[in-house]
Parts: sequence; structure tokens; C-alpha cells
Amino acid sequence: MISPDAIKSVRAEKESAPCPQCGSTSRVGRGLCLNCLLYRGLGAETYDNDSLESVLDEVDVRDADWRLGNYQILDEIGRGGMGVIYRARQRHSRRIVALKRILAYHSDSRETLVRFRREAEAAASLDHPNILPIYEVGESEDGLPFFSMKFAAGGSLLESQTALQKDPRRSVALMAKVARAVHYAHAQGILHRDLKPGNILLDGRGEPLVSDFGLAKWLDISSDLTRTLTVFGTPGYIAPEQANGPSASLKPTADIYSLGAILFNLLAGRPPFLGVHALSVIQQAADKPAPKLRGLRPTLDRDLETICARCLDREPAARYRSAGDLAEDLERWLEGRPIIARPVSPVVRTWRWSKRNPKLAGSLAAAVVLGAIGVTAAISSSRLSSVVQNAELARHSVVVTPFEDLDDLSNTSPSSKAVTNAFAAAFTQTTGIRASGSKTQNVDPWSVEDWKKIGEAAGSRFVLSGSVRQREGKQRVAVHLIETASGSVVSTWLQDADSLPEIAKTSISKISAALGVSSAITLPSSIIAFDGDVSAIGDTNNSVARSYCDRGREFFLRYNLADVDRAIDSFHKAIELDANYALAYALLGSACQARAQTDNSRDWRSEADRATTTALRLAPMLPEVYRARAGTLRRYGQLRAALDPCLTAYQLRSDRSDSRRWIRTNRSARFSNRLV
Amino acid sequence: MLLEGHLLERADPNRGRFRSLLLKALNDFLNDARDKQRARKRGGDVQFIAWDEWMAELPSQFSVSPRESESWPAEKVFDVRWAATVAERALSRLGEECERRGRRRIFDVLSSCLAAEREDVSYANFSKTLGVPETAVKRLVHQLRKRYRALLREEVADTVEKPEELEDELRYLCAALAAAQ
Repeated sequence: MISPDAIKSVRAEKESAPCPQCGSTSRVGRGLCLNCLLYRGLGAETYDNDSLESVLDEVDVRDADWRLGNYQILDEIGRGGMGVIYRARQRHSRRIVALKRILAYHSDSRETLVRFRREAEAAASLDHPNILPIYEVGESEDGLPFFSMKFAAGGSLLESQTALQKDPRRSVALMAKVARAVHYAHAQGILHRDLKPGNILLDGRGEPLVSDFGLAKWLDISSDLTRTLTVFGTPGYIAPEQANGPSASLKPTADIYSLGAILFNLLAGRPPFLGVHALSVIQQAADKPAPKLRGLRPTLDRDLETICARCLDREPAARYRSAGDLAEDLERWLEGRPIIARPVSPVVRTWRWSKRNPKLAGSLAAAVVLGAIGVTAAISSSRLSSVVQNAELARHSVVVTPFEDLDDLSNTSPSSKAVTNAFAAAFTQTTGIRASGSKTQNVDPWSVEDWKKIGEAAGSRFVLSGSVRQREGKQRVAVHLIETASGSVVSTWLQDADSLPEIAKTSISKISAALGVSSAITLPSSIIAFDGDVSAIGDTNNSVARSYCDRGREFFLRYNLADVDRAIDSFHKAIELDANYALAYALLGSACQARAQTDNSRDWRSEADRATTTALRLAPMLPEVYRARAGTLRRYGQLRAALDPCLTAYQLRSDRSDSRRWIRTNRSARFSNRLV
Repeated sequence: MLLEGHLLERADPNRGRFRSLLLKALNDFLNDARDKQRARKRGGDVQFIAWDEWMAELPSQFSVSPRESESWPAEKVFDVRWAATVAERALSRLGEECERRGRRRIFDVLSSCLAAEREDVSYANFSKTLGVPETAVKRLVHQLRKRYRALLREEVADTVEKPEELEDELRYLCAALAAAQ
């Protein structure tokens, strides 16, 4: 049976009317009927001498001469899954405007169009000096809605954030104005829902203009999550509750979170949460508190840290009550007056945490009480020694969770049990480390919280987890050692070996070294290791390079030619700033491959190859390198070979939730069928 | 290797399509997802259903009426979603080909004809929109359809074992959609 989540995956936000030809309601982009689209593929080929290219070239409909309503389209500024933005000229006034056109609405539903118009008109009624004015809501000849608005000559915060980073006062002043504008819109009953640097535009004088009020769900320009996830907003800037719940229940506090994330980004040079992809960013925002601002930029004022933390609290009720209150505090800071927000005390933090985790909090409270009694009793009894001994043991104990068998896609297969047992057996022969099997049956850990719970339940200091698969007659095992207290990966290693006991034995030496039980060891050549989580590999210390790389990734995810080119350009800039930035090389490799698919005029393949090879040399354990490598091989038609790096990428990551999808449902099918 | 393991042996040998093998993986996947519903309050419920890997797939705009999809079994959801991926890939490549020749607008305007019956296409309206004669619109629509068809078949060909299975696979996907209604 299907899970309710799966239903959600195909559920649209908007209802589509049955296709007039076949009655189906399944739609893909632009409201096209999926059923009819598939039927077009059936039957015999028709032959003629024309080709699409020659007919396109003959017709004098160049994109450059395009008109839409009363506007002449000048050039495309941005494009996404749902719509496209142009720079345009209003015909009579000659005024330059920005024009957004919705492409993907369901052209067969009048109701949808009416709803769009109503919301766009509501947004157009907002009259505030720091809100981008909408001039006109219209409909083009082909029935697709568009709206025109002020063209912001200064670009967006995306382009100016690097400069702003050097000037915290200017960033704060700017965000105070933005918060006032957001407060005004909230008072009119309009939420933004997708506040992010790209939506804060600057006019010619550098004054901020908030754009796309109330329209995020219609535009969804840069989100790669799309409606299949029923999440609107941009990872890194949306509130955790926004990713979690129905959009109807959102409150102004969701926008306040986004304002805090933008401020944090301007001050620290990066958003509060970073991740290799959108989902991991969203998950982090839901799972852990935002990092402290001064942890990244110690020279910044403590009050700014407090203001950011107040906005970024995971509890909506703990944030500023209104965007006006946030503006007030920012203005107070600018004027040198004391701010209203106070840092959260440890007691309040614990209370909030226990509200989120009532069961765990209950058992922990009990443990604290029992602990106190235990100590009192122990002082005067012989049980003291055993208490100390247990604590000492727990310091070095490791709980082994079932290994995932990638050949069987299970963690209960014989092979999975064999490797788990091999580890447990090797542990018992090693003094100083106590091992236990995970008591939680069929547990399939995938996040920081899960690691913590498993480790805590077993009273172990560390959790050991990993995966195994057959590779060229050997077993390739990936192992992750996770610290219970923090839930973070302290060591990751990958080894090819003939036998499981052999792997377990070398791994034990590695673990002993990590635990400080034995001194550093020399690893055999069949093992590559990294002390930490692989998500930390391939990063840069240069924040400007990182912001180029992040921007490149955002462009890349828009999946159109112009933006892939922009992505390639951004990755190049990141690499110019840090020649050892492995992640940028790996992503550049993937972007060049994407380009190779549609452009033969340049040797994109060689460029992709060079970038991937460099990334591999710089960071042999970076999963993105293996993904890029798999992509290259696939495009060369080396289908069998492509599967191996694809699986290695999967094995290297400790957080399995996303990459598992890739292995399981991706079109690895495309190449793997030829192996069958 | 994944494909040389037991999972392969479980794929239906008569069908020979890799889709059925993936279906097994999907069922595991959905079971996992159910196990993890406890993670919902952390936002876990949005995690498991993204079919499109961020670097390998297009952002999908696939949608279907909730009233229909609620009654579908997992297999149907899978087949339909698969079909949507194939069609979206073909559409996106067609759009890129037009963009390369500075004619993205032609694709934007005429792509609505790709799913329509020939007689339902209003060439006169498109002629007005694009400012070119009807004969030119007809030729464009014809070539767009032809190219779309070739791209769609290329996409599907990559997922079947032998070229002669292509037509069968397309028919299977059409039938899956028909049964889904």
C-alpha cells in the first residue's frame, strides 16, 4: 500500500481540470496533459526533408523582437520552473520595467487564473517606499498571466552581499528598512513566504525594495524543491515550520525567521545553515539550533548575535512578535541604545527543548534525579566502584547498528548481519572498547537525532554505522563513527578487503585511535579515511569563494541553458579565489556535463573531465566528485562503470536520506538495464 | 554490485524492463518512509518523497488531481511518476534546442500544441501571437511535434533493454496512465 507521503508527492497545490481530449488530470509543465504527450510518441516516424532547426531559422520570430501586451521584451533576467523574468520597455512611456510571466500555470483552469490575478492585485495594492511597486497585472495573447513592476537597477542583495559584509552598520540599516516594509505588508494581511537575498532588490540609490510579496507560491523561481514537495520558499531562508506544515497555517513569524536568516547571511557571509543540497539545509534548520553569529564572526557585536538568534529560534513563538519589533531593535542598535531582545538563558533553552522532545526530556529528567540519588548512596557504599567502572566503560563503548547491504538494499540480509557480527566479534577481542548490538530493531538511522537516540539508549559514547557491497571480487565497506553526545560524525573511512574480519580488524585500529585508546596508526593502502563528516570535505575558508559556489549551485538548479552558463561562470570565479576548492571543481564538472548534452560547439566534456579529476585529486572522499564521475561515465556510454562511483558516493555519506533516493529511484535505471 | 545482487533475481524476467526492478526498490523505499513518520515533527515528511535527485533531474512540475491520486496503489504512482519524468525530459530538451537558436519564444508559445490533436490547434491565433503566416506556424508545429517525438523515444529507449521494446514500453506507460484515471 502506498504511504500518505507518496500521495503528497503527486498532489498538486492547484486542481487541474480533466483534459478535453482524454479526461486525464495528470499534468506536466505548462499544464500539458501527460497522457496525450505520451501518445505522441507512439506509431511510425513521419519523414520529410525539413528539420526543426532549419524551420526555426527561417521564421523571423527572434526572441529579441518579442512583445508582450504593451511591452517590448528586451532580455531575459531570470528563469525558473514556474516562470520567467524579462527586462522590458513599456511601449508609450518608454519606461523600463521588469516583467514576470507565469509559464507553468494550468492554462485550462480559469479559476487558477482568477486566483493568481486576485493575489497579484492584492500585492499591487501595497504602497510602501521599500516594497517594489507592481505596475500592471495582465494576460498575454496566449492567455498566460504576467505582471510588470519597477526595474531595480541595483540588482539584488545576492550581488551586493559581498560588499555589505564589510559594512555591518549598512547591512543592519538596510534590514531595518526591509523589516519595516515587511511589517507594513503583514498589517495588510499579506505574508511574503519567500524572503531571501534574491528578493531584496536595490534601486539606483541603493535603497532596498522587497519584491514578490504574496506571490512566492506562484513564482517559485529558484526553488529546486518545486511543488512535488509542497514546500514553497528557499532553503537556507525558510522557517523550519514552513518546510513542515501546510502553507495555510503560516504566520508572520515565518517571515521574521527569513529576515533573521538574511541578516545573518549579510553579517556572517553565509546563511545560518549550509549543506550540499537543499534538503539537508532544510533538515538542519528543523533539527538543530542556528549557529551563533559570533562563532563565525567573533568581532561582531553581541547584540547583533542576540537579534539574529531571536529571529532564528526554531519555536515561532520565541521569535520577535512582529517584524516591527525586529525593525525597532535594529534601529535601537544603530542608535547605540540598548536592544529589547535578551539572549536566551540555558534554562529557557532546556524548557523549549523539552517541549519539543517531551518523552526524551522525561527520561532524562528521571536519569538526573536517579543520578543524584546514586551519587549520595555511592559515597557511603561499596557501589561506588561499580558506578565509576560503568562510567569508565561507557566512555569507550560503541554501539554497532546494522550495516546496510547495498547489493540487497536491506539491513537485515545475511551479508548485512555478517558484517555487523564481524565488527561486534572484533570489538570483544579488543580491550578497552565495549561493543553492543543496536537494541532498536530494524532501525535505519539517518539523522543526527537518530544517532543520538541510539547511542543514548545503549549508553554508548559512540555509534558505528555503515554499508557494504561487492566490488571487483572484494567487499567495499564504508564506516561512519558517530559521537553520541553531538550526533556528529567523527570519522569516516572506506575500505576494500577480501574478508569481513579483515575489514573489522583494521577498522578497530582506526576506532581505537579515534577514541584515544591507542596511539595513531598507519592505515593500509586499501583504506581511505577522513576524521569528520564527509559533508565538511571540499569546502573553502574563503567566504567569497563559497558565496560564488552557492550562487553557482542556485543557478545550476534552474536547469536552463543561460543559467547553467551563469553557474559555470560562478564556479570558475569560486575556483579563481581558492584554487583548492574541491567542491567547486566537482560542481563545475557536473555543470560542464550538463552543457555537453546540448552544445557540441565547445569541448565541454574535456572541461568536465578536467574539473572532476582535479576535484578527485583534491578531495578523494568528496561524494560530489563521485557523482560527477558517474555523470561523465554515463554520458560517455560507459554505463556499467558509472554505477560504481554512484554507489561509492552513496556509501560515503552518513546521512542517507537523500542519497538513497538517488540509488533507488534515480535513472541509474538508464544505464543499469543494459547490465541485466 | 546492486544489480548483480539478489534484487536482480527478483525482477520479472518476462518483462525485462528495469522499471519493474525499481518498483521493488520503491516499495522498500516507501516502507522506509513509513518507518520514519515518527520524524515528521522535525520536518521529516518532506524528505522522503523527492524523486528527483538534485543534480540528475529536472525540477518536476508534475501534478495530478488529489482526488484521483489518493486511491492509487504505490505501483501506479511509480509508473505515472516515471512517465512524467520521461515526458518532462523530452520537453525540456526541446525547449533548450529552441533556445539555442534564439527561438525560445516559439517553444513557449507553441509547446501547448504538443499534447493537442492536430485539428484542435488554432493556427490563426498562433499566427497572430507570433506575427508569422499560418503556413509557417503549421510547419513549426509539425517540426516541433516531430522533434518532440524523437526526443521522447530517445528518453524511453534509454530505459529499455532492446530497441524493439521501445514501443511496448510507451504503450505500457500510456496504459498505466489510462488505468490511473
